[in-house]
Amino acid sequence: MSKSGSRALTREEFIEAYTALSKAAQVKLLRAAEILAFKTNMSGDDLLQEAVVRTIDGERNCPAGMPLTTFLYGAMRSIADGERKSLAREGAKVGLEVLAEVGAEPASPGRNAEEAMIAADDFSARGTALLDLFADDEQALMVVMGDLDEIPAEELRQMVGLDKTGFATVRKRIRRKLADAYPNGWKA
Amino acid sequence: MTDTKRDNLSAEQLERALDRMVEDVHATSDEEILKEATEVYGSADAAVARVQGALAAALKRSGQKKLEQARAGLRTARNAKTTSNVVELPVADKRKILDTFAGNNNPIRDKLTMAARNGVPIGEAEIDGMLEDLIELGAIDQQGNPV
Repeated sequence: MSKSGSRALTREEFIEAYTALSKAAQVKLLRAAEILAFKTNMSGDDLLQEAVVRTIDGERNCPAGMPLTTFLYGAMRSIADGERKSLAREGAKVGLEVLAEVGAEPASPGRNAEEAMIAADDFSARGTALLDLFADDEQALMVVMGDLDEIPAEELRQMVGLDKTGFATVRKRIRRKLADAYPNGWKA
Repeated sequence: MTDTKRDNLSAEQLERALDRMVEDVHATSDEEILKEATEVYGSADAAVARVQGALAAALKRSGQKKLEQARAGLRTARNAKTTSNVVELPVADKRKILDTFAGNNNPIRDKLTMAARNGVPIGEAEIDGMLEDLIELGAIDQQGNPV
């Protein structure tokens, strides 16, 4: 049984459903993996593989009736979030070591605050890197900034002044550039 | 056009932006995404090969993990057996352990008494068997110490 109470696919059912995915669904899965990999330090292929291995090992359950791609997007997202958080902890640890080396006193009550600060810097660096990628592509930059500000898609399209096809083309350019620039995730 | 401050972006903002890109991929028509696959990967089949490759690699990893778990289980079982040091002790020490239990354990006391009464010294194999029984019952540990 899955967490939601519905029956979960067995290992064999999952493998069968995965193998039977349409070509388009598989391409979408790979593109999504490449995007989510930016939260991690692994490649999109490795992130997808991780989601699959956790499912066939029973660590994650795909509810019967849920589209497999939806389940795998969620699994990859959750793994990527976990990975990002652990990278942030690692980064924070290294940061604290640096503070200690330069003689700063990382007093234990303030440790969490410092870790949070260093982690925030890391996320901010990723965001900045994302924006830097599109420094020479004004339309793409506007769309990414709009996404970061959570501007509704339709409103954003109108703000950028593109028709639906043009907007889709810009989005395609964004994910392509991101995947090309970070084939192994963040700074890997 | 937006409020984004490029040097002060939060994790949540970044996650939302990436999630939106994924949603966008999901919403792209099959025809468009297949065209994109040709542009990006050379062909849709090349992308399919990578996605199926992820399954093949996952199955291999899962198999290796199971094998490793089985090996670890075997090692634990072997270690448990080899750490049953009590049977390696000198006979006199093994008798001493049994004597300790004979005082408050009827079956052991009966066996030892019967052997003494018949003038037949209880054999080492039998002592070992009784000690193994005590280990199984959780009365002593692998070294013969009371638990």
